[in-house]
Amino acid sequence: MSTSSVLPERIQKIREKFFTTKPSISIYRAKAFTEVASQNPGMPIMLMRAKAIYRTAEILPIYIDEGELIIGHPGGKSRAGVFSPDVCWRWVEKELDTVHQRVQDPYEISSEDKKTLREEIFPFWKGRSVDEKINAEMAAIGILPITYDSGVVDCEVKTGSGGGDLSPGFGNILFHKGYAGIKRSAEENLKNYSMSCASDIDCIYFLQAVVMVCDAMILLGKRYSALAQACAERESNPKRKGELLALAEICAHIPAYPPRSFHEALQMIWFGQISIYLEENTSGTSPGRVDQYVYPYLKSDLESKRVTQEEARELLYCFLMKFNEIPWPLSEAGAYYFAGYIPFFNLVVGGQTTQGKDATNDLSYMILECVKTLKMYQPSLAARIHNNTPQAFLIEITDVVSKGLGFPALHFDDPTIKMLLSRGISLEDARDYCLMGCVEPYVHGKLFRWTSAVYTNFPVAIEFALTNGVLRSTGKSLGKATGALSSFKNFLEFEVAVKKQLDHIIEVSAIATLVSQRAHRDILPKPMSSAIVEGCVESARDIMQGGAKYNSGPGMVFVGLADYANSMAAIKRIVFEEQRFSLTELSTALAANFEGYPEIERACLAALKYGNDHDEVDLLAADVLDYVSKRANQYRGLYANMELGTLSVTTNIPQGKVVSALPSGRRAGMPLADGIGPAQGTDISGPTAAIKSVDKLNHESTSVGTLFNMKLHPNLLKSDRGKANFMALVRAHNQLGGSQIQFNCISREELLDAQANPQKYRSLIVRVSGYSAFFTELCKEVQDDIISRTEQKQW
Amino acid sequence: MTITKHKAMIFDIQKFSIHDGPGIRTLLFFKGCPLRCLWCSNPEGLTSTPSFFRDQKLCIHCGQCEHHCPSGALRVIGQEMSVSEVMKILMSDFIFYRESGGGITLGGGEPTMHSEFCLELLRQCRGQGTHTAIESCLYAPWKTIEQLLPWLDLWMIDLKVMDDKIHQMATGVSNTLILENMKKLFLAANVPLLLRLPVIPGINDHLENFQQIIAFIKEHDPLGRVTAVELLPYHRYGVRKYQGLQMEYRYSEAATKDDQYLQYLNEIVQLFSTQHNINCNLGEQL
Repeated sequence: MSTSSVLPERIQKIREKFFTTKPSISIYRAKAFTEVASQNPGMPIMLMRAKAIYRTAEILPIYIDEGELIIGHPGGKSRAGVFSPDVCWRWVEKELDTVHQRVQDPYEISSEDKKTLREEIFPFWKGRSVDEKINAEMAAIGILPITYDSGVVDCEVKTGSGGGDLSPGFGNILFHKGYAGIKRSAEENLKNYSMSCASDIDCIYFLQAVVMVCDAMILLGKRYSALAQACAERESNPKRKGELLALAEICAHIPAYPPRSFHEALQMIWFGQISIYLEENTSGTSPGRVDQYVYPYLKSDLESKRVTQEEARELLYCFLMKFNEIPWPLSEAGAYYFAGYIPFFNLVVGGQTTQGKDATNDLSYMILECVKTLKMYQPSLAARIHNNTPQAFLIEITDVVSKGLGFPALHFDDPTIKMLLSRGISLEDARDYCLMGCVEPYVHGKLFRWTSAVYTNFPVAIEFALTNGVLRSTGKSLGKATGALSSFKNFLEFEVAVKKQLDHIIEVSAIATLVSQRAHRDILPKPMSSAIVEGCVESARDIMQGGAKYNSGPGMVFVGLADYANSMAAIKRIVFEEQRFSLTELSTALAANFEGYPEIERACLAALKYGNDHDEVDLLAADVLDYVSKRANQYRGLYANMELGTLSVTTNIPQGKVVSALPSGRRAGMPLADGIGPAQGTDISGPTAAIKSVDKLNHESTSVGTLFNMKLHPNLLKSDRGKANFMALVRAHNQLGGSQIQFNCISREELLDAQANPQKYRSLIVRVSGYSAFFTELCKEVQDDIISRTEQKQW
Repeated sequence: MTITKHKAMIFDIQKFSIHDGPGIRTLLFFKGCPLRCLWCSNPEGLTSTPSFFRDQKLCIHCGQCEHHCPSGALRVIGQEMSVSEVMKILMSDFIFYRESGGGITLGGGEPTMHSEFCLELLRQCRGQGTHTAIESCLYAPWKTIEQLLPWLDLWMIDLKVMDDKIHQMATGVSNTLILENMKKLFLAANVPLLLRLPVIPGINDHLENFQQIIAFIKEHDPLGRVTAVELLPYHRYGVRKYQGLQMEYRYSEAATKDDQYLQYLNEIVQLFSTQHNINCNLGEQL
């Protein structure tokens, strides 16, 4: 296999342009939706949205940037985020004059667009957005204080943004049918329904909507084809002229019809990505196993000499580059939860075939190589590891990890496949899993599952048990009354109280999830997404109406697992076993944020910590994970049982602000531990012990996905011997039943330097959580959290 | 697991050690050493009894240490542990040894001072299929070394200096026994031997010392058991520990950090490698 570690000049230029482009908010879709909705009052919402999507495809500015071989953007401009007032407009109105200068993820909006927003768009959508509907419903049922107001159960992921959380069926549907084929299927199926039958009506509207959105994509393809043709006519450079003519031909064929070449396959995926953003601003649209479903096209093109290795690599670079150009605009608060403009496009390589054999191929390696050389933050690269993963593949992965990009995140087949089997997915489809968003196991184009509708945390339950239900930071009673501290005679009694508080948080999370789910179903149906999910056109039902082949979740995400285990272990040891302080004394110290209680603080800090291979504390983490998972599973979403996830993203920071001082010794407001990893700076027994602790958890119980960040000192991966040891760590984690691990391989010194001299580190990428981001595009708080994670460098 | 009466004073068990033998290892530090090297970087391992370590940065001189230290400045270093207690910790990382070709390494201090304990421990490790290594200065009765020989897969021999006068001055003991044991080990061992030379400026970094070592190997290792020589550059990471232990750091270093010195060390590496065909490398420094 030939390797090329230097970027082609074309790609260097495209990459350079990216860094000089400021993220902005695009309002074309908002204008189209406002126009269609205001001109068609009373129109069924399904048809209205499809019509608005079509209108967006008509008015969206189109462009082809210099040197681009993969073209198109849903915002009409590179790095433009698609504003969706029908989902949520309130934060944009509130931040209209400040969003360009906020600390985390600033966006530009032109003054002309601001005027349109103020005069036409905001006034129309007032009272109509899903955000307002959900807010009002939560107020009506009395859960606003614990959700919107305090953020203990944070819902913004589905109130501030579209549904998302989808790996749309590019490989299994678009590649076989194209939008013309999907349209034909919808038209065929329409014949089976009658407007005179009450239960058919919604099906008819849905299928008609699918026809319209397919037309919208076919139209967009034609517009791009014409644009490429026009650009070719103006182009004087014969090479570029040829490329533009080829693009004109490609877009005349796809997205209407299935791809015929490697280039068309990649462009088809890109049109699919765009389609989801015409529908709404969202995140997580993940292309999945590109190395599997695109490989036949590459193989055939290489064999027939239609492309050379070099040309194929250049196309792949152009394709990967595009994923960086769509940000996910969120409110200022939301940007703390998902810092770094991150749109969560997850692409996975390696793993097994549907028959359980190794699936690694030349394209898997080519993607790894290109990601390594390109050094961009998107797509989020994941790699699947199983017992028979070739050592050569693992060596290549190690090499990419050693570059410090935080890529690829490693997912282990055995537990991940079991997670999906436990949700009723067939063995073949489970073996064909991909990752969606940050770390969530998914089935490309067959499954629909919101992997998160709420974000909350474990240790707040301990705070509630200590305060009889009061959130210390607000003084408000948000938990359950579980009794005065003096009533707990032993650790078990206290633990029962904590679990009652967890029950309460889970119940509220389930209610909040249902409110969000119903609101999206009722006012934000998603015909565009549904068109490329197996089962929807066949059953004439939208994904929000349960149309997908598989439904699962939604998931509820809990963070701060380590803080929970460390706090419970400290209480058990210090209060109940050693009886050094009473529960009341401890609680008083916590209320004072340990100020004036240095002895209690030291005792808390000195207690055993999760992540050092001590059963005494690790099993508390395993226990609570299992407990919460079982409880979450008892609640049913609209179409499936709810699930637990521990993919913290950066929510460990805002969730940490909600929680006061903890018996673990963590002070009030500090970030909670992320994912299922040890708390910041507490895993002091080396990486093997940290892995051992983590692998005591029942990973399969967090079926929505889990993440384990490990920070490695770069020296560890410098020598061949170091790399061999790294691979042994990975293989051992696989043997121990680990489901996921990801690495930050940048020294603390370098990160501190980057913090001080951001201009020198514009392209420094770090693993944030379930994703990587440009370090200098993160606010200081998030940067500090990354720096504070324990660096494994001992040798 | 067999329960034995053997106990030993252990001052640290360090997991994920990757510079003391192949693969991922756990390093067991025995307390007690017959040598008193001036530059010793593990002074807490010198005595066979528990040491009291007082962190001068943390200590608030409150005098309460008689009961318990409220600031966490005072620590007792060294804990008597049984073979089964140690085995439990060592074997908790077995899967990492298996995946990496690693295992356990006995170090210290001087492990041969705890020969009965080591013997029992090594037997059990061998029984569980774990690679075993020892780091020793060989200042021990030959009988002790001979006894351990069948149970070890790798010996790392800490050699200080060939000149006996300097040896006595710098370590407090003569090297006669050490060199005799080395000769015997070269002939008796059928496992790889690794020579580790801490390079201490002004004490053993003179060219002559290295030439003598090369000559010694050439003369006494006809079977080629010495598979590698590792030069360990001097470092000061242990210095702070001396204060906490209320001990005096007696070695005053010469300037060593410059490029010229590194160049010199590289020349020594070349001397071993090219001229005498002994695999030699410069140990990594953190």
